[in-house]
Amino acid sequence: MELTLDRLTKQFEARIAVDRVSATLSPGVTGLLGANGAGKTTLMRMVCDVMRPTSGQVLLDGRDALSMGDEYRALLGYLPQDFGYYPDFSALEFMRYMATLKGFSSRDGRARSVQLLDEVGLADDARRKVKTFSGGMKQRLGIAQAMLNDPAILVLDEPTAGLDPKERVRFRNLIAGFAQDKIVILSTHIVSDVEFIANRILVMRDGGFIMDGTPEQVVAQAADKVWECHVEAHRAEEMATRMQVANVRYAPDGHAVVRVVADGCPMEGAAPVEPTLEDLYLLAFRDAGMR
Amino acid sequence: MGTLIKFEIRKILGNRAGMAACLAALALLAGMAFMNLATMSTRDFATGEVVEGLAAQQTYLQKEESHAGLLDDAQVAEDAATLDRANQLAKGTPGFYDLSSDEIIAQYGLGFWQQTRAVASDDYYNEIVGTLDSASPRSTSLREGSLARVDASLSDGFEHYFPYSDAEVSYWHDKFDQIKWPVEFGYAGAWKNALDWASSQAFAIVALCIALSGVYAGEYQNRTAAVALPTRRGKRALPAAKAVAALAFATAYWWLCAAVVVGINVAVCGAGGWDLPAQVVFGFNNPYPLTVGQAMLAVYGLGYLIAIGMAALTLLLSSKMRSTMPVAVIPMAVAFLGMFALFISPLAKLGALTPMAGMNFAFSRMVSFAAGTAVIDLPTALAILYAVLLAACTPLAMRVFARHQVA
Repeated sequence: MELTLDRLTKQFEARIAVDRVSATLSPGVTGLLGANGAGKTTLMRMVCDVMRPTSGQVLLDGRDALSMGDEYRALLGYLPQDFGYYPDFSALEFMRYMATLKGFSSRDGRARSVQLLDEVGLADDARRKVKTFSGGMKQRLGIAQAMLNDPAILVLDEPTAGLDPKERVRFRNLIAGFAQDKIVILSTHIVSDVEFIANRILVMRDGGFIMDGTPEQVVAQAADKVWECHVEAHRAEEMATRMQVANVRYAPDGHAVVRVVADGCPMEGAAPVEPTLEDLYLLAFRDAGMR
Repeated sequence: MGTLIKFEIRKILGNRAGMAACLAALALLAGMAFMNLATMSTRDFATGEVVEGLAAQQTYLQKEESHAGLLDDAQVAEDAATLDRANQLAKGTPGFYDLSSDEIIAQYGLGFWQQTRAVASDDYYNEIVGTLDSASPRSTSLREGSLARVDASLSDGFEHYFPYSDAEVSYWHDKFDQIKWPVEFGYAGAWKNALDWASSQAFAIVALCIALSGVYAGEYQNRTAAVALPTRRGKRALPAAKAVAALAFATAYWWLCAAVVVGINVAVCGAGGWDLPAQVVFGFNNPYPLTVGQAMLAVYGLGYLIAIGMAALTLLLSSKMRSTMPVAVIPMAVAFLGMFALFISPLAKLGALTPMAGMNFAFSRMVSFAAGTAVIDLPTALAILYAVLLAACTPLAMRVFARHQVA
C-alpha cells in the first residue's frame, strides 16, 4: 500500500500554506516535524479529505483518494489537532457514535469501543461525560476513536498534546505496535514523539518538505553542526542570546556545559558531538521564532 | 442508518437552549389555550347569571346548541325578526343602553332581559343578521348576504391590504359557489378556538428552529466535523441522518404542540361540530367550501408543512454558518416579522407568506396571488413555498455539510 502526495498545494488567498508537496508514504510511522505554522495541519486535513487542495492530489495505490470517497475514508483514522467532542456524550457513547460513523454494527461497535477505551486507559471512565475529562483523557479518547476501524492510514495531528510523560510513553508504544502494516502519519513539534518510533521523518517548513529520510539520515544532516562548550556558568545565559543553544547543564566544578547548534565551531575549545533529532530540529528552525 | 438517526436525535435533545425554547413554547401554547378558556365569561340565558371560567363553556355550548340547525331562509328570517324585536324593545325603553344586564334584570325582569340584551349580545344573531344586512336592501337569504360580504371585501381590497384583480374576484366567486346552501349551524367551540389560535403555533416553529440550529453548525462550533466527516459514513449517511433526525424531531414537536392545544380545547369544549361548515367558525364572509373538520386538517396540515419548511431552511442556515446564534435568529425574524409587513400595503401579500401571518390568514381571509388569469390562494401559495423550501434546502444543507472545509 502506498499513499502518494502529488504536488499537493493549499492556498488561502495570498498565503500559501502548503506548496507543491510531494511524497510517497509506505507502511510504518512517518513523523512530520515542523514548527507551528509550517503547514502540517493543513497537509493532514487534505490527506483526510476535510480540506480540498487548491491543486495536486492524494493517491492511494495510484487511485485518486477524493474520487474513492467512502472507500478511502473507510481506511482512514484521524485525530485532528483540535479534537472536538460532544460534551454531553459519555466516552462510551462517543465511541459508539464514531463506530457507527465508521460502519460498525451496534453490537460490534460497542465491543470495539470497550476494547479501545481499555487500551487507552479509559475503561473506568467509559460512562463519564466527556466534558468532565481532563485534557489528557480527552486526547486519549481522540486516539481511541481514530483507531476504531483499525485504519490502514492513521493520521495523528499533535496527538501527544496534553499528555503527561507516562501517557506519552504509553501512546508511543501503542502506535509502534499498531503501525506494523499501516501508514501512520504523526505530526508534531515535539521531537521525542517521533524520535523512537518513526521509520521516516519529514521536516516541514513554510509549506514544503525541507528534509526527508530515516531518522538516521535526517539526523546526519546535523553532523558537525552540534558542539559542546565548557564555559563559566555566568556565560551560559549570554551565549543563549547569541547562539542556538540546545541544552545547558551545570557540571559539579561550577562550569556550564552548553550544547550549541551552529554551522561552524561556535567558540574556541568547543568540541563536536553526535547530533540528535532535537538538534536537527533546532538547526532547521533556528530562525523560525525570529521571523 | 437507524442507529445514526438515534444518535442525531439524542444530540438535538441535548441542545439545552433548544430544549428550553421548545418547552417554553409548549408551555406558552398550553397556557394560552387554557387561559383563553379559563377567562371566559358569559351569562346563562335561563337565569341571567354570570358564569365564568371553564363552566362558562358549558353555558356557551348550550347557547350555541339552541341555535343549531339548518340556516334556511325561514330560519334566518326568524332570527332577523328576533333581533329586530330585541332592538325595537331596547329603543322603546328609556335609558336602556346605559343599563347593565344586572340592572335590566332588576328593573324589568329576566324575561325582558332574555328578549332584549341577551339577544342583542348573542354573537349568533349578530353574525346572521349582520350578514343579511350586508345586502342592500336586507337579504332574505343567507347565501346572498354572504356573497354581499365577500363582494364588499373584494371591492375594498380587504381594507386596502390586498387589492384584487378581476381574475382573483372571479376565483373567489367560483370558490364561494361551491358552498352548499343552506348551511347548518351548531356548536364547534373546540375547533373554533383551535383555529383562532392556530397562528400562535408560530411559537412552536420558532422553538423548533432554535432546537435545530446546531444540527450542522454545532459540528463546526464543537470542532467535531473534523472527526465525523472523514469517516466511511461521514459524508453521505451522516448528513442524511442529521436531516432525517431534524425533520423527525420537527414532526414530533409540531404535532405534540398541536395535540396539546387541540387536546385542551376538546377536553373542555367537547369534539362537536366537526362536520359543520367552516363558515360557523370563520364567519359568513368566508368563501371556502370546507367543513370545520376539513379546515382543521387543512390549517394544521399546512402549519406542519410550514414547520418542516422552516426546519429545512434552518438546516441550510446551520450548514452554512459556523455559529448557531444567527441560525436561530434568522428563522425567528422570518416567523414573526412577516406580521409587521401586513401593515405595509405593498408588502402585505409578502408578509402573508411568513409563518405566523400565513397561519393566521390561510383559509380565514381571501388572500390570493395572480399572474394574468392564473390565480392561487394563500394556502396553495404557502404549500408550494414551504414544499419548495423543504425540497430545496434539505438536500442543499446535506451537500454543504458534506463539502464542509475544516478550518
